[in-house]
Amino acid sequence: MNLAWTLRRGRRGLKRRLARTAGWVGSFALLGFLIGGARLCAERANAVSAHVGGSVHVIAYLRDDMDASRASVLGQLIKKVPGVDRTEFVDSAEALRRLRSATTELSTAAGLLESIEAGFLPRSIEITLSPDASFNDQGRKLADRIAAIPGVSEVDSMAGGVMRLRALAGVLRSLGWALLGLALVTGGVVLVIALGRDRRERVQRDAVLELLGESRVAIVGPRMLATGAVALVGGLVAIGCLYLGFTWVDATLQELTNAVSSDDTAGSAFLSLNEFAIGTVFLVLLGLLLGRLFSPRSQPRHA
Amino acid sequence: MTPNIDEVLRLEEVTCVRRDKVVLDRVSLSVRAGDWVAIEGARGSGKSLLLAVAAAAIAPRRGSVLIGGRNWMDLQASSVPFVRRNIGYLPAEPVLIEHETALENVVLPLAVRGVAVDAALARANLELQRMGLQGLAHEPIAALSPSERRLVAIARALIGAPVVVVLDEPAGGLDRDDRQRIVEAIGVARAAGAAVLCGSADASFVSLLQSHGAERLALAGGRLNGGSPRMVVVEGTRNDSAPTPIRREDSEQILDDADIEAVSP
Repeated sequence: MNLAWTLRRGRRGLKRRLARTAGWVGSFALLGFLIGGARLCAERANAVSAHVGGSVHVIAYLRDDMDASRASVLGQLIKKVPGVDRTEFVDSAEALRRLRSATTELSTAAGLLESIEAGFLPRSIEITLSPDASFNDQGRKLADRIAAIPGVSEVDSMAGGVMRLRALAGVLRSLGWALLGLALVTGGVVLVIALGRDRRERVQRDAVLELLGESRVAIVGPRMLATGAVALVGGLVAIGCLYLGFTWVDATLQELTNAVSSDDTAGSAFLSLNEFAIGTVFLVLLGLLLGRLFSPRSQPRHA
Repeated sequence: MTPNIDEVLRLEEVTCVRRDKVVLDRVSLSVRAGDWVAIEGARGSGKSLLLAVAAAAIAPRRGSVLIGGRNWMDLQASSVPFVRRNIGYLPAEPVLIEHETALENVVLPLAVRGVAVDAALARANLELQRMGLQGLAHEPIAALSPSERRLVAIARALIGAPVVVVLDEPAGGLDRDDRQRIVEAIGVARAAGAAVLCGSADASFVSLLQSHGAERLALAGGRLNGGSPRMVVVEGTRNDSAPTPIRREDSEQILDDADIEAVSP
C-alpha cells in the first residue's frame, strides 16, 4: 500500500474511531503526566530540602548594650558549636533595609516604615545549621544555649517554619514515588486493555491484508507510526497539564518557603530541554512498541 | 508434466494431511490463462483445502504449487505477498473487515497493489455494480446480510484482473439472480485473461458453470477426476512416481521437525 492509500485509510480510520483515539491520547497523556509529575515532585522536594538546609534556622536577637566587637566575638563562638554551619551579624540598618525590601511588595504597608529610624530594630546574629543536622532538635537545643549567653535578649529557633518545609519536602517525595508507582500500574493496565480490546479487529484486518498480499512491513509499519503519533500528542497534552498543575504547586511552595525566609526558593525550571526530549522520546518509543505488540504475528499455515 | 508458457497455475503431486488422514493424495493440476475449472466435491472432500493451496494460502505437506512458473514455497517469506497479489481468492468463509464499508473492502486489493486512489475507487464501484450492490457501497460490512457479504467478497476477489481467481463456494446462500451475476462477472475476469478455479458442493451450480464453458472436475477420495487430459495429470504420468521430497530449508518454515522426519526419504 502506497503513502496515498496509507494516509487515506489512516484518515478514515481516525474519523471512524475518534472517541477511541481520544481515549488513547488520554491514556498516554495520563502516563506522561504521572511520570512527569513524579519527576517534578522529586525535583521540588530536593529544592525544598536544599532551601531548608541553606536557610537561616536560628536567630539570636542581641541586647542594645552589646557593641559590635562583642557581637562579632559572640558570632565566632557560636560558629564553633557543633552543627552550626555559618553565622551572620545583622545590624539595625541592615535589618531595616531587609524589612523595607520585603514590604515594598505590599504597597499598603510601604508607607508605615518611612518614620522608623535605623536604630529601632534589634541587631541579631543569624545562624545556619549544617545540612546534615537534625534541624528541629538541634535548633531548639542551640536556641536554649544561646539564650543563656549574656547580651542575647531573645532567640527564635524558627522551628515551625522549618518543620513545615521539611514536612512539605517529605510529602512531595512521597507523592513523587506514588505517582511513579501509579504510572507503572497505569502503563501496565493501558497495555493490557489495549492488547485485549481491539485484538479481534486487528487480527481480522491483518488476516485480510495478508490474504490480499500486503507485506508484513506495510501492515505493521503504519500501525506503529499511528500509535507513535498518538503517544506524541498524549505526551504534549501531558506537558501542558503538568505546566498548569506545577505553576500552582510552585506558587504554593514559594508562599510556604517565604514564611521561613525571604530568600527566593525553589524557583526551579519547569522541565529542562533534556527532560522534555527524554520524556517525549520515551512516550513515542512506547507508542511504537505498543503498535508492534498489537500486530500479532500470523503463523504460516500448512496441511 | 512439461511446463507450458501459458500455464499460470500448476499443482504437482500435492498431498495434504488433516488429522492424520490424507485429504489430498498427490493431486496434480495444470491451469492456463483463460481456463475455467469447476471443481465439484462433497463436503469434507478436501475441495476447500485444494483451493487454499492453489491460492497460496496454505502450504501442502508435499508437492509443489507453481504460480507463474515458480513454486511459491521456494520463495522467501517476504516474497510470498507479491505472489498473493496476483491471486483473487474467496475462501469458503469469506473474511471481510467488519467495520469498513463494502467499497473499502472491495478496493483493498487495488490499494495493496498501489493503484491510484480515484481509479481504484471507480473500479471498485464498477465491481460492486456488477454484483448488484451499488446501493450498499457505503454500508459497513457489519450491516450487510450473509449473501451480500459473500457478493462483496467475490467482488473483492475479481477486482483488478488477477492472474488467478480462486473461488470457494461462491454461490453458497445466493439466489438464482445472484448466481447468474457471479457467472457473468467470472466471464469478465476470464475475458481479461484470468484463470478461474471454482469449487462447489452444489452440483446444479457446477452444471451452470459448465454450461458457461467451465471444465468440470470432481474431487473424491483425495483425487481429481474428469476434465481434459491437459489439465489433470493422473498418477503414473510422471517418470518419478515417488513423492516429491521436501527440502529441509524450504520446509522448516511450514513444518515442524516431526513432520520433516516423517516425510524425508
